[in-house]
Amino acid sequence: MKQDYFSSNNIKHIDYKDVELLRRFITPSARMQSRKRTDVTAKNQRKLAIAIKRARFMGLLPYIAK
Amino acid sequence: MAKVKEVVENGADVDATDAKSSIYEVGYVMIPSIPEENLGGEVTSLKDSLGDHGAVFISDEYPKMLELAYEMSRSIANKKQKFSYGYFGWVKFECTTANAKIIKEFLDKNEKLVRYLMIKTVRESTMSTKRAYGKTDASKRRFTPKTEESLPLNVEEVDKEIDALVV
Repeated sequence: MKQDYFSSNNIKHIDYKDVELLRRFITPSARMQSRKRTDVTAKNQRKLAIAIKRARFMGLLPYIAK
Repeated sequence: MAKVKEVVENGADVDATDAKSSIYEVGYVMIPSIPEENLGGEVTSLKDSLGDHGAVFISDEYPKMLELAYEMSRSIANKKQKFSYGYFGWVKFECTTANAKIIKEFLDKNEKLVRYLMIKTVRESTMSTKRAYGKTDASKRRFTPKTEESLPLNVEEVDKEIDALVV
């Protein structure tokens, strides 16, 4: 059964500064993982995508890695 | 949509949307050429400027030197400069929508900043606690067989058992 990481850990807001957390949801080539892989709810997947994009903009996460 | 207006005590009309205050967070990357000893002064001057524009501080984090995930460029004094490192810090504050616009314009002009990000957020801390990482993810947890607790060895008994086995 699917288990949402954020709901199970009681995380209401996904912060772009929380790089350690965001790294869990990107591939080794720094691409965002699909919802099929992340197993999070649609709402949290949207929040996650925004947080990753913000972290990329601020140079905390890469847009692409080798 | 018609703008809702309210009349303040002194008679001047103020847009209700502009008077509404929200919580904002500004994350910034400062240029790495600032010496470590002057960093405190730079942060204070930045915060003072925000305060002058009506920001009421909630929380902040002192900037830390960080290797950026990719090279950023910013034109400072009409000269394009590239940065691979920067001091990353953030500040959370409350201000009105009108002041937020002014703060944004001020940050655009600030040449000490490589990049900044101004977002709407909530008053409470949005950082998840460290304990959450990988501890509750039961599906990925490795199975480790339980080892029996080792009882204190009685040397004489062991010797007897060995003797019995040998004989």
